[in-house]
Amino acid sequence: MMPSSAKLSIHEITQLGVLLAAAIALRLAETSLAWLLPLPGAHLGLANTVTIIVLYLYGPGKGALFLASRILLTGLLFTGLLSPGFLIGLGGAALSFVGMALGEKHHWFSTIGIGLLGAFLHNCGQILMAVVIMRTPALFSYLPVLIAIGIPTGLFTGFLAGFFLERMKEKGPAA
Amino acid sequence: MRKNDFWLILVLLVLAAGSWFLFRSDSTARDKVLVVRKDQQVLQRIELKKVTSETKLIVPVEHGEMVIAYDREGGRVLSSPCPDQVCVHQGKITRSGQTIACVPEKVLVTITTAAKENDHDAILR
Amino acid sequence: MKKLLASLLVFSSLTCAGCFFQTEKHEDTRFMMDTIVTITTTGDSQKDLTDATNDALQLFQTIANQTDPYTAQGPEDLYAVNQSAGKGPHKASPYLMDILSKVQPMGNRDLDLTLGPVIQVWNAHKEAKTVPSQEEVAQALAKTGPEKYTLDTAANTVTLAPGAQLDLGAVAKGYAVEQTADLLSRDKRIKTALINAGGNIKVLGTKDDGSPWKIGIQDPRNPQKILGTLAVKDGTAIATSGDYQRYYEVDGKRYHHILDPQTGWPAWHARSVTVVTHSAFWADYYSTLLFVLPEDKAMALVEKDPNLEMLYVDLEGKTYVSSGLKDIYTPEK
Repeated sequence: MMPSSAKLSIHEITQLGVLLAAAIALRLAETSLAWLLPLPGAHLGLANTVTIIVLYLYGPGKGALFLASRILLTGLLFTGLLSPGFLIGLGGAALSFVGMALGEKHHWFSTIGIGLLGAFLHNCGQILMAVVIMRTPALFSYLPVLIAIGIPTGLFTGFLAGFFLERMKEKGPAA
Repeated sequence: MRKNDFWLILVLLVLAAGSWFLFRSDSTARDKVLVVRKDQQVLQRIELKKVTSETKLIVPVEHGEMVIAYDREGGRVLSSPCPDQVCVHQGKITRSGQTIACVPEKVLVTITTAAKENDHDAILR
Repeated sequence: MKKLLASLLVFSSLTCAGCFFQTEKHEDTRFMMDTIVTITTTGDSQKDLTDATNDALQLFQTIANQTDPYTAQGPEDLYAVNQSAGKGPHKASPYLMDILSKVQPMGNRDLDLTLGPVIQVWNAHKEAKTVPSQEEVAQALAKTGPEKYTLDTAANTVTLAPGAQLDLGAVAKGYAVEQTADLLSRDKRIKTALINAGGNIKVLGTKDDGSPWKIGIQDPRNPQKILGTLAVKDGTAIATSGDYQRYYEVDGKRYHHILDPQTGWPAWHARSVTVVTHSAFWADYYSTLLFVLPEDKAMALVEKDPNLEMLYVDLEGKTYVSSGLKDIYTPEK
C-alpha cells in the first residue's frame, strides 16, 4: 500500500488500512452533504477526522503518505483523477494537512483546535484551487460562508478525533 | 479543550465576520447587471432592469449545453451537463456580488451593479 | 501562539487580496507632440505590458518626430520637408507620406494641411497676446491651399510650392494613436489597451467585467466637470476638438488654435466637437474638420456616413448628438 511499508509493522499496516477505509467511507458520506456548500467539488472535510488521528499516531511523514493514498483513491473512486472536483479537494486537503501538521508539531492546540484549523485551511485551500481553475477572484466571495461552515465541521472532526484517540490510548495500541 | 482552541474559534469568527463584511452582497442595488462568463470571456451582460420576463440563455459548454435563466430579480442555472450539478442546486442569485460557478464547465454567473462599473476609464480633454 | 495568529492573519489577508489572479494593469505617460500621451494596458504579466507599452510609445515618438514642424529631426521629416519649399521634390519619411497621401485625396477645403504660414502668424500673436490684422492673415492665407503640395507616392517625395508650409496638427495625434493602437492590437501579450493622447482616445479589447469602456467628455467651459459619458466597445476611436484646448483671449474674445482654412481665423461655431468612429486617425480628421462647420452642416455630413458619429457643443453650450450616439451617450446630470 505504501512505499515505506518496510518501516511499518504488520499491526501498523492493518491499522492504517482500516483507517484508510474509514476515511474513504467518510469522504463518500460527505459527498451527499456537498449541497451544503455553494462551491462545486468542495466538501466539508469530515474525512479530516481520520487524517487527524493518523497525524497524532504516526506523525506528519506517514500522515502525508496516508493522505496521498486517500486522495488518490477517492480520485479514482469518485471524482476522477485531475477533474476540477479532484483538484479542489486536493487543494483543500494539502493546505489543511500542512496547517494541521504544524499545529500538531508545535502543540498549539488540542485535537479540537487542530480540527478547526484543518477545516478552515481546508476551505481556504478549496477556494484557492477553484480560483486558480476558474481564474477569477470572484469566488473569494464564498469565503465568509465557508469559514463559518468550517467552525462546526472543525469542532466536529476535532472532537471525534480526540474521542477516538482517547479510546485508543485506554484500550492500548492493539485496539 | 484548551485555551488556544477558544482563541482559534474567536479568530475564525472574526475572520468569518470580517470577510462577510468585505464580500457582503448588496440587495438594495437597482442597476443590477448579470454577467455570464466562460473561460474568463464575457459571453453576455444583461441589465436586469430592462428584462421584462424570464429569459433563457443557452451557453454551449464542453460537455453540451448549459441553460441559464434570468429575470428582473436575478439569474439561475436551469440545467447543466456537469456531473455534480452544484450550479443547478445553488438556485437563484439575486444580489449584487453573488456568484454561481460551474467549475467543470468553467462557467461563471455573477451579479454586479452598474454603479460599480460607472467610473470613467478615461476623460477626453 | 502569536506566531500562529500572525501567520493566520497573513494567510487570510493573502487570500482576501486574491489579486494574484487578477489581470495585471500597466500605465505609462509621456509628453509627446505637445500633449500628454497615456497608454493603459492589461494582460497577464507586468513585464510583457511594460515591454509592449514601451514599443508603442517608441512608435508614437517616431511619428511625433516625423510630423514635427518646429524642430529639425531627420532629413526626411516634416521640418526638413518644410525647408525644401520651392526647391522641388523632397523625400518624405514613411509616416509623413502616409498621412499626406490619406488626406490629399479627400480634397476637402475645410481641412487643410498647408495652414503652416497662418499658424505661424497666430503663434507669434499668441506670444504677444495681440490679434493679427486682416491683411496679415490674408497674406499668410494666400500661401495655403491643397494645391500647394504635390505627392509622388512612387518616389515618396513631396513638392511644396514656394512659401508653403505643412502643419499636420489637425491629424498627427490621431494618426499616431491609430498606428500605436494597431501595433498593440496585434500584440498577443495585451488583453486590453486604452491610448489617450490629448483629445484622442482609442480602446482595444473587452474589459474584465465585460462592461463597455466609459469615456467621459470634458465640459468645454469647466475642466473639472464632465459633459457626459460615452459607453463604447472594442476598437472605438474618439476625438475631441475644442476651443478650450489652446487659446488666448483679447478683449473677451477667444482666439483658439483651430483655424478655418477658408478664412485663416479661428472657427467660431462650436465649443467642442467629439467624433466617434473606428479609426483614431479619421476621428481626429473629422473632429477638426467638423469643428470649423456650423452645427447643421456638420450634422448633415455626419448623418450621411454610417461610420461617423458626433457630439457637437455650439457656442451657446447647446449639445447636439448624432443618431448613432443616442444609445451610448449619457449626459451628466
